[in-house]
Amino acid sequence: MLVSLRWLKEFCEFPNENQLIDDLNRIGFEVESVENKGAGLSNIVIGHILTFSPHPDADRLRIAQIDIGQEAPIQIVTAAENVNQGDKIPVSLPGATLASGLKIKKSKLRGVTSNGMMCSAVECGLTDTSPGVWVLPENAPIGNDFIEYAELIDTVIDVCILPNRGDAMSLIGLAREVNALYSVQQTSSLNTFLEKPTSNTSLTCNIETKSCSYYRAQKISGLKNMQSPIAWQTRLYYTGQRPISWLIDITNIVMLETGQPLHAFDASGVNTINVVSGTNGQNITLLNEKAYVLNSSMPLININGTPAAIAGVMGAQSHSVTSETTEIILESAIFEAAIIRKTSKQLGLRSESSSRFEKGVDVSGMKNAIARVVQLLQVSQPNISLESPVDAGELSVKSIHIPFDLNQMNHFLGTDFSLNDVVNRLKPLGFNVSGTEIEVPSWRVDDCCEWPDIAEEMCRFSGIDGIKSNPIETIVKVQHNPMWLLRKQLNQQAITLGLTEVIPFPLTETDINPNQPKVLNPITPELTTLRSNGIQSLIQTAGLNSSRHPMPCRIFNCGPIWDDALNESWQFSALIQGSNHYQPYLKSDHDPVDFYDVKGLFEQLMSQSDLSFEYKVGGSVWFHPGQSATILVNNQMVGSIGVIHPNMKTKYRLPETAIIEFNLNFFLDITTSSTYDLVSKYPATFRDTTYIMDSSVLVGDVLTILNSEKPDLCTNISLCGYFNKDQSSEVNVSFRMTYQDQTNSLEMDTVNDIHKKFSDSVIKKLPCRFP
Amino acid sequence: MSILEQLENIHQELSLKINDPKTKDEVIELKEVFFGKKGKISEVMKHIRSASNEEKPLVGKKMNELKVHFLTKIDQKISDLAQADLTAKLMNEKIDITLPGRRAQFGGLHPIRKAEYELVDICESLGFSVASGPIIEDMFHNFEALNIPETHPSRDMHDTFYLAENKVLRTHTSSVQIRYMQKNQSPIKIIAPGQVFRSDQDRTHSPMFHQLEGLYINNEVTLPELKFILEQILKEFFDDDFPIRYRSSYFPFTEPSFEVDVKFSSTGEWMEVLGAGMVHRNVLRAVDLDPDANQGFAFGLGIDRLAMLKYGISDIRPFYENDIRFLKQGK
Repeated sequence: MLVSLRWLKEFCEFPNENQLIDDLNRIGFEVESVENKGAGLSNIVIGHILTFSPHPDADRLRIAQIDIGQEAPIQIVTAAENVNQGDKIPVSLPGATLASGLKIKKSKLRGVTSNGMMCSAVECGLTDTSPGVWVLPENAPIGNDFIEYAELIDTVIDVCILPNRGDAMSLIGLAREVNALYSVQQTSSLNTFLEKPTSNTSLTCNIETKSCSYYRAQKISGLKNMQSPIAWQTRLYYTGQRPISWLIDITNIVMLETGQPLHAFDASGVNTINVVSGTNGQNITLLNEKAYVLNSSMPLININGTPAAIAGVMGAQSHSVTSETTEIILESAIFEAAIIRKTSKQLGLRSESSSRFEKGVDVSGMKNAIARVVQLLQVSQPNISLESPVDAGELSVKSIHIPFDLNQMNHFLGTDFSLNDVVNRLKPLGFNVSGTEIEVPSWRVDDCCEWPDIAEEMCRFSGIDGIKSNPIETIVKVQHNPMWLLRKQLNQQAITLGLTEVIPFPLTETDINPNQPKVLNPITPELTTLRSNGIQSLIQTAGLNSSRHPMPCRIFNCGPIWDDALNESWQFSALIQGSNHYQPYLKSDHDPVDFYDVKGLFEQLMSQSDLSFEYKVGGSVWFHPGQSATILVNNQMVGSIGVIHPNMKTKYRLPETAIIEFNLNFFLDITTSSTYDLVSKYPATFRDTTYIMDSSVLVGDVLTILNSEKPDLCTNISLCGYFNKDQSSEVNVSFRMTYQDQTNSLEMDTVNDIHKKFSDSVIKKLPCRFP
Repeated sequence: MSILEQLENIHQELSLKINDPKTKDEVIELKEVFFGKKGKISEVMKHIRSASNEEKPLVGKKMNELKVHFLTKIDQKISDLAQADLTAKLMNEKIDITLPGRRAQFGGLHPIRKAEYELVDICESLGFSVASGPIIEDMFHNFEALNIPETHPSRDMHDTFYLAENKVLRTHTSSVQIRYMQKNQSPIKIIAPGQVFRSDQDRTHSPMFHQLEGLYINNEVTLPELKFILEQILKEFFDDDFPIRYRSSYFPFTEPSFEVDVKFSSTGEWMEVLGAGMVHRNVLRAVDLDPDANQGFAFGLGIDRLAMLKYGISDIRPFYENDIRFLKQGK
């Protein structure tokens, strides 16, 4: 909300502007920007155009003689079209500085001397666009300083109003805060405007929708519309409004002052006003000259049966006030905040009015707002006549009394406020403090309902900085979070294995599963679908990297994935390229990654686990079907590893790439071995066995047999040789068995016997032989 | 010539020749010539029997003198020359020690994860336990229980991503507060780090970012206790004694509510780092806790924002582009 401090000062007292801005920030009214308006302007006066004569050498230029209150008029050459003889206008004289920084000099335009320039609102720094020179009211005093006359010197701040503080969306509301801030003991004398006596009316008014609880229409006649006083126009410009005409400007000014949105209709021929619900598909053109389509949840103001406004949002062009208007109907109403918020959202139209209604408008302030309008009208035109207002609905003022315990609050806040402190602070805000009870003013009833709300009011102003901090004494039992710990353990393990963590969005454009859930209101196509796997994100990340630089990726992510029923689980995925310890001078490290690199990586990641894994050849669409494996635990698929499919390599322009993915939910029981066995004091002996196998036999098959037939004294079986000469149909595989006893030295013969029997067990079961 | 005289001659000869050999082999040859089995000394000593009884002890003494005097010298010389040979050989094996070392590449955590772990460590040391909740949330846990009814204007503060079945991508980790309070007894002291989503995207806003929620519930909880925790966290995390500023603010689920700014010495600017407050009584009611018998505080840190401040990153977007050249800078 833009606030003119010059205007605000009419409603409250504050020490200096910088202090005020600092303090507003502290008490919950963040000042987002500060502008020193009019600061650069100089040497602009009010001039009176005496005569115009054509320029001898230019069709578009005219020569004006302008009275600026000095003995002789000055001559100005102008291209402006909207000014006439007799108009009063702002004139910048030689030496003047304008809002753009432009300096005015005496000059010649096509040979004719020009001693200044007529100014528009743009040159005065009020707006970005303007229809032409600013024509001033007839009573503007010739020769006076225009900067002073138009009140151009001002500080305008942009204050962020929090959603619970609709009451502060006005000068009066903000003034209450400022008065409380500096302990100015007044409840604001602004609520004392008097409503003037009235004559009878023939107007009728009905509410036919739940979204309006109260509607008041009052006919005012005997008006002559005109342009608003210049200083008012300046204030409107500075607070983001555009001055339109006196009658409309007044409703805006009073809204800015009181926070009560008001609307003026042209009253000619108006008999009935109905507040109704819109019809689906109904069209309406509003004052901003744009057409909107209504629906049945939007409240509408009908005048004589035709739509004249979308309630609480904006008036329509029919029944709008024009320069010819002589009588108006002044509308003030209470519309339901939620409905206005919804309507304005649906229309994509947020007006000053709707932004106030949607945060809640003070029910008790309405009559004052009307009185203020009347007061402002009468300043210029004292002889207006007022009809008695027509009311529909009820104006129900909610009242809240909060039981209050000073000691409880002080303990809660760590403060030592006295009851007097509370009274002094809250009184300017409109609260009524009486010992054990606090009465909340009508404009705060939605926001202040319980004692912590009062506590907030107190510490808000006195400042939280000053409150002493205090350690917590209670010891609360620590609770372990297995998933968090598992994720942390895997992340740490992954980085020690040379992987770099990436964090991709868990949303994607399209997923391999076409039924993945989608976001209903995406902001970009890339962030539409919840991902079903972690691989795609990593491949895309690798693709982005390889499009930018030649460094191989070794990356991982542990993040959420979802199935098509919105069930969430955590997936660990890793992608590797290149060699882990590549240096150009080393001979052996140029080989691209292959299946065994990722398998090794997986085994290392799982080295803490007691689970036993089974590998089945083949994986999902991402993988090379012959160089990938599905990982099973107890016959349940937990993940896959492998080299990516050549199609994927091509699609994402990747070098040789291998990936791992597995679902964390299966590994929640990963345990680190919690017992240590003593090492045998007796020597171990080793025996090697070589099998010549048919190439259809897998090493895993041999190991399965060896593991199941393993004699007690055999403490380890390891692969120590693998040789497949020229891709022949036979493979030589050697294993080294370790034999050791905990209690004795082993006799050579015993070991030989055991080993012989053990080695033979494979020959019996698989197509293989000894060499 | 008596044996003793012969030995004396050998002594003199050795004295003259001892410094002649230049190589190990020459020294060994010299040793052989004098001390070898067929060497000059052995030749002389063959005749020891012919020595007189008076002479014998003197010969023995002389022999010993020769050995002590020359043999140690020769052996020393042999070992010196051997060492010199080895040194020369090793110098031939000299390699380029400026080549980079052979090593496994270092991996690293994402800067956001680093910040997250650091914050979690700090909070755990302050007695908070890590809690978690689902990313896809229902309206109750994400909004209603947090005192954000459907019609409340503060729903506009959350640019929510909606899913089917009245579900949303959680807009804050505050939803974990609700889930935890529903399942656990007071006292409660938890933090909930995690991903959150808002439909907003620019230099300082990402549609997905990370928050860390804190919640403490007990029968009596005070603002000074909240201040203590927040000050500890910020001090530890930034490892710096900088000014902290509290600004009153509004969150539907806390009352009073405030935001905390930190003034960075590098820029001299106040930067907002967290929001906090005392748990709203309506939130306690929503999880069936009696607000007259329970109080609490809650705080929410933007992990991305804190990481940006700590690591001097001015744009949030590189966090999620995942260019490894950016990510690998961290040490």
